[in-house]
Amino acid sequence: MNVLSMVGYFLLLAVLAMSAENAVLARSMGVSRVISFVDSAADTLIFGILLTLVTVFSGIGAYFVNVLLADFAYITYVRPLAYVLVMGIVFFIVLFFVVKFAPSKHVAKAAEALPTACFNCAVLGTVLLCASEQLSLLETVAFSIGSSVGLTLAAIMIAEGQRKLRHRNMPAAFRGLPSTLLYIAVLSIAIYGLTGYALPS
Amino acid sequence: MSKGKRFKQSRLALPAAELMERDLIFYNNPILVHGLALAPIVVAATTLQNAVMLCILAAVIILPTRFFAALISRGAPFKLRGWLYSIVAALCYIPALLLLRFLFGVRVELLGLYLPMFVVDQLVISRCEILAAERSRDALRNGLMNTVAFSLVVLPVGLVREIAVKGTVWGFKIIPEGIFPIMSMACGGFLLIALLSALWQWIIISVKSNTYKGGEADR
Repeated sequence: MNVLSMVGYFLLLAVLAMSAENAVLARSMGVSRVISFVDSAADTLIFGILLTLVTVFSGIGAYFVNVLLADFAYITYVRPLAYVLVMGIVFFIVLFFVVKFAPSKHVAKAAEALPTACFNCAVLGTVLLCASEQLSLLETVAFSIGSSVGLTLAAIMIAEGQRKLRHRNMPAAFRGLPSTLLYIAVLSIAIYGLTGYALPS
Repeated sequence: MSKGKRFKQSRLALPAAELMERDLIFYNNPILVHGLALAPIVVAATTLQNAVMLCILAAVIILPTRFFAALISRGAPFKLRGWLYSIVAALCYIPALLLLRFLFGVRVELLGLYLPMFVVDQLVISRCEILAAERSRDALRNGLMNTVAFSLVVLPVGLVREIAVKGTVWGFKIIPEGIFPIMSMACGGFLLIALLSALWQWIIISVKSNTYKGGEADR
């Protein structure tokens, strides 16, 4: 495989993870976290950057854990524990990078958001998905980047939708969570249609 | 005065607003009011059997995690609590999976990655985001309430989706064929939870307005 086709394959996998396999809209991973971002796009972006770093590093760590535990008979029982331990190590690595290299005005906010960006369904779900699909190291990196960028985009879209849905004409019973979930359902159908699938009949 | 009577009287002495705030099943249902644990419900709870498996998983993971994580995390730095909660939940996942495999055999695989993913679910670890450490008694009480609240939502969702998609209940045919196949997909799950949440919110609004009206009339 030459370099150009490898880059193309990398991008294709990332775009697939962002759209058709979108963590929030297609698989509902991290949706509980995403609906809690309402007001600040900057906070969502900081969360997205942290999430991308954590997912990529956790994916790489989990890849080597899978290699190490490949012959272990009880791997299905201990897999979440092993991945959570990896995520904890990644938490410290990313925290170190944040404290050392992040712009000083964002350090406090990033350090505050890091635990929530690290321990959530989106990160563990992506890592588990890469393991179950037996992706190679490069594929894992591409899929992790695509998945976390897709989640960040979905979070921004949902936050914007929530702002628009705060209307005084909205029936009281639908204010807040119900209208947000209806909006996510519509986005989910749109993603499904975008990929060319027909709805079951 | 007996302990039970004293407890009942102390509860009655609490103002309605405080009782509502402490209630995690109806007024503060973690799923239909706060939107926690949506991933397994939206995608995996497509049949009654899957819903029952999710309930067992929740029962084995949530309660011990809340209790032991509350004990351990008292002296731990605030930022590490998420990790501690996740580790305890991942340890509880081992007996949970053993039990599910014993009860349901290979059908457990139907839940796919939503089974191991539950160890970092918001419903299990969200308490770590609150600065004040949880008392053991409160952790037990809240863990139990969260498990009941989760079961209260996931079971009807699984039942409705199985009927809508396959026309069956626990695999037994009750109507000739499914009437709403979209319910098997994530978008169908979101749609159903949204409608349930709206209904729940409407009931809460009605009960609250009646409570306050009743209170004013008493005065």
